[in-house]
Amino acid sequence: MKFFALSSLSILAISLSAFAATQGPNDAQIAHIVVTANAIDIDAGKLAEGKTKNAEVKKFAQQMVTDHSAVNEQAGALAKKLGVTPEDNDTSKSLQTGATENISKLNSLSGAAFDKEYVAHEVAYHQAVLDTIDKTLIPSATNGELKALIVKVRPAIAAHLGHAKMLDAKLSGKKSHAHKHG
Amino acid sequence: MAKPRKSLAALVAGLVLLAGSLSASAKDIQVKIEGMSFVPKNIQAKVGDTITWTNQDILPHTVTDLKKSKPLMNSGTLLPGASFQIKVLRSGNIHYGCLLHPTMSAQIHAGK
Repeated sequence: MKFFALSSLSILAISLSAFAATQGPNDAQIAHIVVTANAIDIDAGKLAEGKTKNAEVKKFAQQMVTDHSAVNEQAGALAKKLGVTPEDNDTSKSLQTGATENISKLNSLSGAAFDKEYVAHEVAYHQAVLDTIDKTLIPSATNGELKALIVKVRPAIAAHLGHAKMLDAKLSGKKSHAHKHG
Repeated sequence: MAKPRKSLAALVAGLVLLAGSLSASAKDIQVKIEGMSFVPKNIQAKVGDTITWTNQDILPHTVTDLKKSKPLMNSGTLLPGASFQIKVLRSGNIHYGCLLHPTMSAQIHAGK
């Protein structure tokens, strides 16, 4: 299951390498990547919220929907203020391809198997998004307000990753090394 | 240990009550919620001090005593821009965090 989750995200890595090899995404493309990345996790969260019977997984999924919706609202408001129309690009397309695969996989699962796959994917996904923020989006953003928003969002993605890791460890019956209320 | 005052409206009401009750040495300790953290993470306070949290982050958070039974404080959901204030009534320690984001936590150490 983790191999599947990671293989779909490797498409993202290849796409970002293509950007790195040229000049990085422009601000309109960055805006599109941000909105797409948030929308993907909102969709996965809504699916998990409706399907899981595990209270902690449901709570996590609900938080993903709430948080990523809040970020998308701010991203959309900023794009409007700046007069930037988010521009589709290969990275957004890669993210969407991975999301379609993930949703298809999740729809084929139920019970504990669903919970494990959803959470495992959330770990991989948030790590991939964090890497994208650090290696591509922040370095490439030219508009100061757009860069500032991405910088401000970064800790939220890192916190989501931490939360997902804690939950993943719990579902796997392992002790988590991720920080929890400590 | 702490008397919670919820929401911005409660903060204003709380300030009116506090105006007559603050001793000369009592402080108002400010805590920022930003970058998914409480800043500062560790607070040293004295009985009589007030502690005010302001959510300067992009997401909603809570300020909640993480003790499982009878938590001493719970702000409820603080939207970005909202504040929450308590007055320290007795000495003790509170390990608190955000109920929405379990990676966030901090400490209050209150002395006499």
